[in-house]
Amino acid sequence: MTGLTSAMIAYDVDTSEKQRQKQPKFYGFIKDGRHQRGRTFFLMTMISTLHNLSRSLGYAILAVVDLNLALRFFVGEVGANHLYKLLRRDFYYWVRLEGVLSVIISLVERTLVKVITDFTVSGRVRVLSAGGGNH
Amino acid sequence: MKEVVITLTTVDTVTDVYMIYLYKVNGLHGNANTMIAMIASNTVFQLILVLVTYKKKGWRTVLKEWLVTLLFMRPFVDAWRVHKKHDDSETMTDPLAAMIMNKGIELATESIPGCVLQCYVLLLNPSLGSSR
Repeated sequence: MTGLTSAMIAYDVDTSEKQRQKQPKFYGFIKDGRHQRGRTFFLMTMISTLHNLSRSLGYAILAVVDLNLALRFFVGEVGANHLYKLLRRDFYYWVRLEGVLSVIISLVERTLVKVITDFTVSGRVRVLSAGGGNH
Repeated sequence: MKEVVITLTTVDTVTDVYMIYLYKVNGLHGNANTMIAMIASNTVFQLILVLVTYKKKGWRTVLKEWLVTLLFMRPFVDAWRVHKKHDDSETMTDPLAAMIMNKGIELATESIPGCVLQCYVLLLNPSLGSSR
């Protein structure tokens, strides 16, 4: 189900006429044609599902061995990503907000995108305003 | 394509409720509560997104959209708006972007952590859900 949702997000954005007109070099990796589209969607779903299963199972095994270690691993992984974004001055999300709210929204957005990227490798989050280089 | 996925998403909510029931019945109250917390965080984030998106349209619209989210009808409504190419200049995002944001929130706060939790519980209780 997670893989299917992830593939649907990437599929819908990539096949959107509006997005293809706006950024033709970025969108359009799904070829036109019913069979090609179906095949690409199926493969994206399988990649996301298998990747999610392997990561989830890995985290679950780590949690069975030591729950705190699993939590520390997660915080370390996400923290390293945020630190990298901060060093590159790319931490703030594109939505224009001010003060503490901008930090909170950016932190939440960057964390959610990091989780989606790591667990589903969704083609959508490779966009610069979301996952960017960490994809 | 969207219709199939939206239907499956709704079925997914039903399976989540079943998982909570199964955990409660088997005395795994902590895990059941974690699952409830994941669904609650998903709903809270979606409510915040609704507030940000429909702020300009006034409280009446915000309350109506909150009701849609609280009744777990968001996937249907989003898909319908994308399908009908619903255009509203007063909202912050277009229907496709709104649907993707909601799906992203659902993935990161409920589906993925739920998958990890279910693997964890199954590893600790291999016979859970079986008739033996």
